[in-house]
Amino acid sequence: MTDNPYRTLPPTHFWRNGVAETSPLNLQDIYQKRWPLAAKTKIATAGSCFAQHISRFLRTNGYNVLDLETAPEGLPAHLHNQFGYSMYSARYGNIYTVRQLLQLAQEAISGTVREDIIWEKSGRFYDALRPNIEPNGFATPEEVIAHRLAHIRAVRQMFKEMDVFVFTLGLTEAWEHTETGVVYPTAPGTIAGQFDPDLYGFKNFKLYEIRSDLVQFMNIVKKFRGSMFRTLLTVSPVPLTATASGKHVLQASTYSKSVLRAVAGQLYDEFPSIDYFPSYEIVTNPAARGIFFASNLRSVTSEGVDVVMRSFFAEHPALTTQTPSAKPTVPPATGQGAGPAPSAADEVQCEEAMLEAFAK
Amino acid sequence: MTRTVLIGNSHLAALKQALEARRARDPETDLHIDTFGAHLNNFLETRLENGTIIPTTDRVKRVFEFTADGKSAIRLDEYDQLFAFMAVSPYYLPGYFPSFLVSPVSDTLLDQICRSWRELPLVNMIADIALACPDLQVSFVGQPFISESAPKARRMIYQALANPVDPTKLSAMRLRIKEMLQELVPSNMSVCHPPQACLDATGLFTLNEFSRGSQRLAETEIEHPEHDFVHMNADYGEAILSEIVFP
Repeated sequence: MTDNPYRTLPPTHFWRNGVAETSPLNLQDIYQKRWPLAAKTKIATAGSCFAQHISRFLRTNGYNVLDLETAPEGLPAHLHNQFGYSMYSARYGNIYTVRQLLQLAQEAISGTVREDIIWEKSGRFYDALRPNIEPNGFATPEEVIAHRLAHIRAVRQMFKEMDVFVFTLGLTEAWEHTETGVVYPTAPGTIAGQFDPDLYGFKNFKLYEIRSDLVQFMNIVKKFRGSMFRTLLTVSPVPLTATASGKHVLQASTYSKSVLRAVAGQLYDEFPSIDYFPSYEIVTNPAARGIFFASNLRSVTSEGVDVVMRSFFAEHPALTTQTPSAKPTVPPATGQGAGPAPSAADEVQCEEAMLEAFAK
Repeated sequence: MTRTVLIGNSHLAALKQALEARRARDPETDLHIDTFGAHLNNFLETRLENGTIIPTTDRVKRVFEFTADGKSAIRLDEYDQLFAFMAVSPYYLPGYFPSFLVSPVSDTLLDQICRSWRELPLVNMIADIALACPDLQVSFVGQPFISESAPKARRMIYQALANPVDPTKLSAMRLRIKEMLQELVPSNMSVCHPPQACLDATGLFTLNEFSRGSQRLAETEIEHPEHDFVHMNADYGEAILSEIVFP
């Protein structure tokens, strides 16, 4: 019998040892995997902007990351992301909320596409559920639908094939079509479409809603494919660009991340098929004193991504001899107009960051 | 008599074989045609100087001499027309589709792929030749479409059976590509589509019969292995000669 339940705890369970007196570049035991990822494990990735880093690092380090909508051969690698390719396991673009994920799964499993997801801008037509995958939209509304049909076929196949689903939880805030409940990755009017307060409403998902959506997602996909799959959750450390909650963005961002973190923690406790990887904690670690954020205090630097992924690979070792580098490989620039290679902080395609343009 | 030069990489071999067959049938007729080859992308190991293409490496010089009966440089003023048989053809439509599904392609994506094709180093080189020699008619033929028997082709054909592609959409793509190419290449350069008679019913792949018995562009003439689905034979070369080079 001990005189105090804390006496036998390991050092990392104490703030002084685990955080205050430990280098933020080398957090010990911050992550202990729940189950291994093997070379043959088929991994599907999705989530908010930060998820692109995870997807890329997994691929670069030899993991079997699915890509059911590979880019055309004729499109050079440095243009893939611009057209929504090579970001995730299918061409869905960023999925910021769990409701958006559930919506996608319901659509893919049903095999039918809603026709009310078309936004217009300057005579071109955009898929409102992934408005950034075509830089100039589509020529006709019919094309939007045809492309989306092909896309959800790929997503169906992804759900069938995957062994592990890696999802980065990004936001609780979203805009929805008030009548139908369709949730969008960006507010109408940001990339395309027009904001009409009679049609669209702000939604800040609550903890129980997010939890319920994620459980429902797992259930319907499991039922569809006839077998269980594992899910690796992480919370994006990237704060909100802007909030429509009526509160200060710092408060709103903290709320969002707290709710998402709580959902991830609850589900981790309830479901052995769910693992949680602490990207959020690593980047926002007070001991790091913000060094993992770029000057905008929002984008995560290459060094920050590197530290995150080193913690990941400490438990899931790289399957190639290549170790995670500070900067992802950037293909050489070709043709005219090619500027300097972007940093990792700039390299993700992020519709949410576009909201910055609306700041006064 | 029109003076013609054919340049290319391994895909030039089909033309060489066809020319040799023609010469064997009719040794008295001078075809006024020269061929200069270099493997893979090695034509990039040349420089264009005062209207002459000069190898900058020994390996290219050697292959030039082998393929051009001893000539080691291409004096472009000796020719009226030049045909290039290297680099992917912009009319190869599978290059516009995602690998796993024959799914629709947006106009923006198609235009971008055409522009990206124009920026390929070999295409750039050929366009530079056209720009430097405005009196020379330059025709880009490129490499053949892969054989219908290639595993990748079989996969796409299977996918197309499950999700048929509207042939009018493919025609519209070809038309748009043609329009784009007219904007992208110099005025004395044209981009040729492979002969329809060599292609399968979809127009996406080369008929299997043209990929059997293809030979290497090498110092000793060797056949490509059976699983080579990208190089074509003398019959293909003859079709090109008949329809494109000597129409």
